[in-house]
Amino acid sequence: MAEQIRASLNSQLGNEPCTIEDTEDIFWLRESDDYQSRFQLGRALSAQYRFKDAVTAFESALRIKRDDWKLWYSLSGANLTLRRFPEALDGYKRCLSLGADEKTVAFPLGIAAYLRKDYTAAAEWFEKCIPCGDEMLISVLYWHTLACYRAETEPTLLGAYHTDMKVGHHMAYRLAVSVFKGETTWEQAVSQLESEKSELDYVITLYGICVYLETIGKKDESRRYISLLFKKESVWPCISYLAAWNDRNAAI
Amino acid sequence: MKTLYLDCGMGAAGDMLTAALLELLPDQDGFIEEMNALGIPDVNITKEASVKCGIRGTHISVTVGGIEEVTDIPHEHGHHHEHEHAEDHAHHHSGMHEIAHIIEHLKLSSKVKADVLAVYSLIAEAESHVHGVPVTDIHFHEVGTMDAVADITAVCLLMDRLAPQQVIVSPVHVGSGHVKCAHGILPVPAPATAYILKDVPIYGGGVRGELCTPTGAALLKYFATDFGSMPVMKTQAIGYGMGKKDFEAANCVRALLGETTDKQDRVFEFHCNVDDMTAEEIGYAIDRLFEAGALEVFTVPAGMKKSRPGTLICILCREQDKETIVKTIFKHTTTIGIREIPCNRFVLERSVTTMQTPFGDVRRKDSAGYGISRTKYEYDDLSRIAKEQGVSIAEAKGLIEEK
Repeated sequence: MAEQIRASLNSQLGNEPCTIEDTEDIFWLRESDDYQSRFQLGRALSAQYRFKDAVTAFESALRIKRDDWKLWYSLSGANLTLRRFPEALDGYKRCLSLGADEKTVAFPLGIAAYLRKDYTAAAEWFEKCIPCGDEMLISVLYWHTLACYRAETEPTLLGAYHTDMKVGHHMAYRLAVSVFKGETTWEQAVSQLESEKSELDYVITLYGICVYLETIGKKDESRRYISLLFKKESVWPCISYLAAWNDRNAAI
Repeated sequence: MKTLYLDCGMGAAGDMLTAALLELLPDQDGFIEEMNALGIPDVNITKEASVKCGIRGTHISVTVGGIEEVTDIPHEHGHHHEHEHAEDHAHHHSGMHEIAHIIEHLKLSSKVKADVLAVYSLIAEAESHVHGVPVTDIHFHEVGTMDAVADITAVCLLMDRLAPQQVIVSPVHVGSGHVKCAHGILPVPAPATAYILKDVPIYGGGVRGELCTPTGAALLKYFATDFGSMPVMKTQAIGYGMGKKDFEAANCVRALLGETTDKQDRVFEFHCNVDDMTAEEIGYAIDRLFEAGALEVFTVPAGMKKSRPGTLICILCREQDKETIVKTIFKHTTTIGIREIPCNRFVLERSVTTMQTPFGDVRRKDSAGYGISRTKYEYDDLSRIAKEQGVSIAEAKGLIEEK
């Protein structure tokens, strides 16, 4: 059996013990009590999906310096992944008060609102992310549209989508948005996903399609595809997977 | 006495010491300009305000050819290494003779040059000892070398400017754990630092990380006239030299410059209890303890276990006499254990003047300090006069004062 290098979803969002061991880098970061080491330790633990441990490391860095918005941003990201919404929201607001650009913080605040099922607020936060580059814009369009679907409002930002957007590696968002836009049928998109090698891209696109199917009344199909999405648990901290998990499990 | 106290509760590095001492100077910008005009090859020094844990201080940056020695840990041993893997490096390394050559050509007084060289020699000697090679075979990485030359030169020059009559350094917090560097994994304090700090009071504390660098250690070792707690002093200037890293405690060296008008020194008090020695044996031991350097020996009657009347023997001595005193106590008493109590002692400044009188030489002891001054005559001299004149001690004193 291959050595597990990342923490499981149940070890972070459930009660399963986390058995992931420290990497050498993490060992060395633990050897120093300075701010940067603790901050980097949190990031290294996050990279192992050990978000509970990462929060502890970020909070220990916070005991040294409380005025670095980048630290609050990382801490809030870990708290958001762990569904600790009040802490995440408080942290993101700290980022804003410490001088972080609103556009930078608006996106995770939108995600936090989405996961809390406050879809109207989520759409408002996503709207604050633009103008931005195409690569960012395509993910904003994706999440804004999903929030609007759930809020049963018009996804007004979709008008910003155009076929020659330079989306970089955000192809998964693009495929989903092309479905929202009616350029691609959901069946075509699902068919394309069968050959998708990236589990991350698979999950992103499929979650978008599932919410779309739910919106157009195809709830059975939506449920069927969601069950396929849950098989890609290796990418569980990605927002789309978390959102799907949240839809299924979370009582906010 | 003009006194500089260095608080190294978060260790010390060359840049931290430079910044702390710089803050004591009235013309700080002028000093930076002067440093940059000294002729240290490719070196540029800048200062900037820095706040750590709410305390404002100064941080010093040294760039060599426009590059700052940026390491996660502000230590030099990653760069002060033997030239055993030169194939990995395209840059130049310097030996001790090259460093001496650089220092010789700096626009400095011969005294400051000698100080810089002496501090560098402490580092070279430590590296030599740690690596087991002669000092002449030690080579230093170029950036680390110039960075350290700049820091050492700055501190030596600042010490020359500030001209303290004594430099007292707190016990040095060296940090704990391990560090990874060019040589591999090293314990904290790094071997070169530990070697330099031999005979210096140091402690690991609870902070993981390397808090004292070899450069910092060498500067402290060279300039300290004593290590210990802060003396009673009237402070005139305070400087905070900030390190690169942030910890839960303010990562700085604090320098306090002031006057110690009244004398305070540090002594050690040894106690032991005995219940099986005769008065004669105790008397003999007391004489031997005075011969061994005791400042004072006194006894106190003590009620001891098993209802035995015993004796508490108390000895005061200076730090340098501790070992001899301990050996003497064990040799001449029956005790099997000695308690040691370090003491700060407030004392009056004392002087002895020999007066010529019709009754012969009389020694007069003057004591002053803490707003007090008093005079008394040496008892042995008064006693001699009293015997010779057939008068009492008080009358002998009166005779001297009349004359």
